[in-house]
Amino acid sequence: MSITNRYGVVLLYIVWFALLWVSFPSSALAKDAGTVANSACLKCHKRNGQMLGLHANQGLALTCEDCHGEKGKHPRKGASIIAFGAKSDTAIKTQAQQCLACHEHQQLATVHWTHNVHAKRVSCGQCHQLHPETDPALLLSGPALSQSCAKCHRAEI
Amino acid sequence: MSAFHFDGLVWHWPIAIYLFLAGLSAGAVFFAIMLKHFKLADKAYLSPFVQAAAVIAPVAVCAGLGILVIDLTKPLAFWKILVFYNTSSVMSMGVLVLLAYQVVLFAWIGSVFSSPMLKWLKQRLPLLSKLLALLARHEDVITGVLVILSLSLGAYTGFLLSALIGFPLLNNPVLPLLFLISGLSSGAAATLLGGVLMRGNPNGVEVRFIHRIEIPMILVEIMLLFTFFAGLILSGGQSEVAALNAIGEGFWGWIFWGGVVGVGLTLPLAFNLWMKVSSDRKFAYVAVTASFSLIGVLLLRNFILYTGQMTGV
Amino acid sequence: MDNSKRRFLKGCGGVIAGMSVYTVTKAPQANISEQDNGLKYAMVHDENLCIGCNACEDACREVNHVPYGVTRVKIERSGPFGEYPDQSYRFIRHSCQHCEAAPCVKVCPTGAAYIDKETGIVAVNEDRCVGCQYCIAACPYQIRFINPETKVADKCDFCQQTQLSEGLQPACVLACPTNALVFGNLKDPDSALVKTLKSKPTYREKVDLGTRPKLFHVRTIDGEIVL
Repeated sequence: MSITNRYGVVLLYIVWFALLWVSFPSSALAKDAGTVANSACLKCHKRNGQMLGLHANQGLALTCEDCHGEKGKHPRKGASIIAFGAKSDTAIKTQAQQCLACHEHQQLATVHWTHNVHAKRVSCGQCHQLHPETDPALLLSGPALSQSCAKCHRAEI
Repeated sequence: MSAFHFDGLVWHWPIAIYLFLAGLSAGAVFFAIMLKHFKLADKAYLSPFVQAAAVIAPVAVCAGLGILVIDLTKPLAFWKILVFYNTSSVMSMGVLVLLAYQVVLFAWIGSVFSSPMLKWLKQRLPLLSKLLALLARHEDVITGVLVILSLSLGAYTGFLLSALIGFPLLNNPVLPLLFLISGLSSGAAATLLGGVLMRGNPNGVEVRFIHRIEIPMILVEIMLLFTFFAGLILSGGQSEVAALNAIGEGFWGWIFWGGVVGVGLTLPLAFNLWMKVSSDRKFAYVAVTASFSLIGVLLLRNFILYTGQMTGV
Repeated sequence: MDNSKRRFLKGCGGVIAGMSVYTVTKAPQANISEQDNGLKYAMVHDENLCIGCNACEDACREVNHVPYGVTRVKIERSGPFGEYPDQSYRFIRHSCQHCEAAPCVKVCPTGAAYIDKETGIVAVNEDRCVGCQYCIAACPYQIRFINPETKVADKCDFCQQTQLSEGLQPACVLACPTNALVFGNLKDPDSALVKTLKSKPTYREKVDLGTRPKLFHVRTIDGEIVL
């Protein structure tokens, strides 16, 4: 029997679609992994744990641990949880590394040149916010963008 | 960066056309005066070539000024340029030259064509007749002044650009001379073309006279072009960059070598040299040679204007 | 005929005289009358303090009503220099240099571009400008532009019409968050400007053209040495 007859073709199609279906990171599969939406973290972090922005996209299937690191002893002392933003105790380099795992720095530089000069000095979270629906830093342009620089860059007089 | 749009480009092709027309007008007048003075004398007004120059010169200079005024961002304010003067500005002095040139040009046309015009008027407009007679009486003075003014106008088109100190290719002492000589040759070409179109004899004394001047003039022009670019390249720095940018590979390099040097200078020179041997000049020969010269000069103006603004210091 | 020939030759001799008029106009304009009343404005841009935030441009646009698409001041950014993550940029202020021997003033046919004798500011008389764009072509710093609304050649005037007349510093200087811009009187030895000029090494652009610009720059420590 040659696969060029009609049974052969039908069989090929079935195999093809089966492979296609398996290869998709479909919502059915994603649900099994612990995504942000049903994470155990939310039991405590009811408000600030909510993830609404682009990073909540189910296709990404991000978990809290993906960015904030292993739970470890958290919330007890000596935990290695990574916190983001200006008030964080986590080293700037560690914070940035979490983002740079996915975001290439060359790519970031083409979006805005300031990424380059702040690479070691400012953590991503000091300008960007991932949890809200939209990142306020992405909406900045013109004078508003200039003013945001002045929040840190200010002569002491 | 394209050939006609790049950073730092301020003046576009209308300025090149203006520079071309102003130089052409000055050249046409210059050659008409030479024709009358050396060959035709009192019979000048009968020559189709002098007639052509008398039409071309005022039309070209007025059309050039018209283009210039339209190219202003405030065309309706152009009168301010006639009221306010700045002695340190080449443009302002050029406006003075242009004004004087136009007045004297019309006076000269009046004096040269006074006898046919007086005949045609037949005492009808006594005031105009008196004016024409007056002009005819002072023709030598008018002619002398007009020669000065036409040469000044021809050189002015170059000084206008050479005053731009930010561009090494333009801020060059040879440029006014180059523009003067090429302007004169374009005027000669326009006079010849207009003359033969007005049924002038392509084998006549005028054509032979102008062609005899044309060969040395083309040689001088080639020498000036050589000096111009050799000087820039030897200066080094941005001057060298500007020169090599202009005549090197690219659109303007093609225009220079093919258009300015090839069509504008080499072909007319070859035609002229070849024509010396055989004697009979035909309409097509005169018209084609003149057209090549005109195209060459027009391309030279555009070439200098655009490539000049391409490289700053 | 002989007489006319002589006159003709005489006239041709006059050509040389006529040409020399042009050489006079080409003479350097070093001696623009300087009225000494103890006031000459200038500016310093410290490239080391500048962060390239563009607040100066925004402030200038607002105060002087400069339409979008054109600008009187621009911070030109070059870089990045160095390897990630230790990279830096260089910022150069691009605006009117208020030259003492300003090429734009020299070429303006109507005197619309002029040097204000009391302040040393290179200013524009809008009523006189016809828009020939000769000044724009003549400026070696290429900072002049045609204002699309007024159709007049426009440029920085140290906010003479807006801020200075109210006794304020230029808008860009006030807007700068890092005090990278210092504005003041060159002739006042106690001014912040003169103190800055005396304490930091500065440079000016294209001084070899003889324009004697009054916009000083403190060269950035970062960046490449360009030969």
